[in-house]
Amino acid sequence: MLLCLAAITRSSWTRRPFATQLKRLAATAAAKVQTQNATSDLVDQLERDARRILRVVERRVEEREKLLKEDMAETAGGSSEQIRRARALKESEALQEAWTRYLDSKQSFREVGPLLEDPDPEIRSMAVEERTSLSSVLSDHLSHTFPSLLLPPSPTGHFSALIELKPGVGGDESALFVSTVLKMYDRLATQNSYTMETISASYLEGSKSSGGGMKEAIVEVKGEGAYDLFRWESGVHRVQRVPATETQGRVHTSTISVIVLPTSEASQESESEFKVDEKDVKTEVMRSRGAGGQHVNKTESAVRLTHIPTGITVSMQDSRSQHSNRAKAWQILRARLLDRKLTEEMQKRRDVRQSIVRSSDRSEKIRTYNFPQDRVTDHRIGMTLSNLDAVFEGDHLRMVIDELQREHEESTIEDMLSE
Amino acid sequence: MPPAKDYDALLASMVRRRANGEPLAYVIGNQPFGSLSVKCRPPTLIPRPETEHWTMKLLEILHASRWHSKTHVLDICTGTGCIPLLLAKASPNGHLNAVGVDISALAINLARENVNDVLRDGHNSVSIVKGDLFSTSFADDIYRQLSQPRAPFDVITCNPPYIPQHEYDRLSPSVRDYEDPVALLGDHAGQPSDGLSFYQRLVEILHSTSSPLGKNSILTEGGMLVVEHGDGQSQAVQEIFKTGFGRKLSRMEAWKDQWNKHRAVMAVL
Repeated sequence: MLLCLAAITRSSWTRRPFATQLKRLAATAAAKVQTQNATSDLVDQLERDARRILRVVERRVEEREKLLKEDMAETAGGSSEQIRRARALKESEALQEAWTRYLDSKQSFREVGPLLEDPDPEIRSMAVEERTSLSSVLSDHLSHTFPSLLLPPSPTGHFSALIELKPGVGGDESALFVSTVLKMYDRLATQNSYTMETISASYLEGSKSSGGGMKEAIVEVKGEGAYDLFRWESGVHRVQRVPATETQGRVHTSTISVIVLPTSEASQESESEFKVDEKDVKTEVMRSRGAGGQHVNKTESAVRLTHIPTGITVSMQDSRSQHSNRAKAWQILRARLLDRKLTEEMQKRRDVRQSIVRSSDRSEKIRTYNFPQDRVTDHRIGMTLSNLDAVFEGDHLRMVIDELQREHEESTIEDMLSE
Repeated sequence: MPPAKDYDALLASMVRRRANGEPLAYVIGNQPFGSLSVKCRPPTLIPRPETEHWTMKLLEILHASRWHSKTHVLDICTGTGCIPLLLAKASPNGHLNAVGVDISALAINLARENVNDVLRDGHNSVSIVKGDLFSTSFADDIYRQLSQPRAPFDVITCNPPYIPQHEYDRLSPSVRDYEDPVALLGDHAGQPSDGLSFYQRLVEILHSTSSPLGKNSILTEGGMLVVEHGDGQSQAVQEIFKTGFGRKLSRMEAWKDQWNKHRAVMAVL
């Protein structure tokens, strides 16, 4: 049980799904073992709560046994059927091994039961230890191992993240908060071994001297898993604090909006199914140049792309280089279109079950940062953390993200189990 | 890096220059061109976005083509050297070799600086040589300066001066007062004032130096010629090529720029 609980806090950025009910049950189970009232009821209880996962595991193990029988019946080698079968067997090997370990542990657990009543106190205490460690193996399998072996890898795992931040309600204060949140994301990226690159950044006039309020920021965090890390930041973030400019010490509320889009290198895209047809995109360059060419030497570098089928437009004039503006605009357009596609796909799966974590609604207030009370609340999972500084430093923010990720994975498992 | 107060003085002087009408690229000292930053200095012509546009289109064609293992490019009236430089930098190493020729010593110096700044050992190479398109020894002059055996080029690019005198007189001061008229005025002595003299001359050179066997030609058989031209000159340039090259002309295309104006003519000979 203790191993189980330790795993909750120290997390690595790979899929680690487990059901929260099992987490709570594991804690009660530990208590039960301690009081020596443990019987095989414990295993029954664990299995009852994890029955859906167990059912899927049993089904997969049966399928595997069928494949094994077919495989042994065949004598001639090399057919594509056999190759397919061999691959399926290889893939389900880990699950089979886990299942075997589980059954063995369950068996041992039941065998140790009578020893709890043994007259010898040494034997009794050894039995208690044995039961404790075995029940932790069992619940670990049910809550970690099986779900992780059953859960498919994240379909968005290879995407990088394109993050757009804009002030919402609150004028200058809101623009200042954009800078604050941007710095927070920069730290989060660094802590997870990513680098953050600025694609476009515009500051309020004169703001660089007065603290750096930003009108808009678009950044890219490149690398596998970057999108999965940042995706839950999409939405409206609300801040309550006394602004730097406030003379009477009143608390103001302002908002910023964050949109996180999946993005990939152009080279990766040719392999994926997602492609934007150049014919669908209208490119406009700003302002007529009259005769143009040698006749004119004023720099006009602004570019606007319009994706005709969806009406999505992207304007970019951040750089003196038209070529560079065009490239960035394309990157953003591709990301917006990809995001749209992913959102549509996700919405199709959502109608089976209402999920707490909705990444489709951009106008939802997802989080409130309250400075006077020094706490942050994520409204999607009802999680509140104190110590704002630690959140802005990145590592506590990671805890919130991990919890959101967990919820997402649980709902994915639920979807899978209800098939 | 100069201390902060010197930055203020520097900025003030740059703003003053710009306010006087000096082109921004001269004030800042460079102009983006494709993925490069090209150093700029008066009076050498500042690279235009329209030129960037067709150069990138040419780049795509070269990348898609399976002609040669190594493509040799000649850029006439190279100015800052932006065209051969971008082609060389953006092509895989060992696959492209370019020569830029200009009449102006100032342009040549600047182009050589750009080559040194942008290209390193192992990269595709760019050579900058001196030459006058209207000289009878134009081709010989080029080859003499190159330390390689005389061979025809696979691609010739040219952004020649194409502005007629009467249009030049009405140009904005930021062009007329700062950029080299030699790089802009397309009228040659004794020719009609239509800005088209250079295209006539190009045809003369390619025609005279290419025999049926193509032995002395500066453009290889099946080679490509791409020229930029001014607003409204597309038809005229195409006529000059059709008349001048006759049956040697196997294919011709009119290319538009990003403002949807005809801006370049591509011909395959």
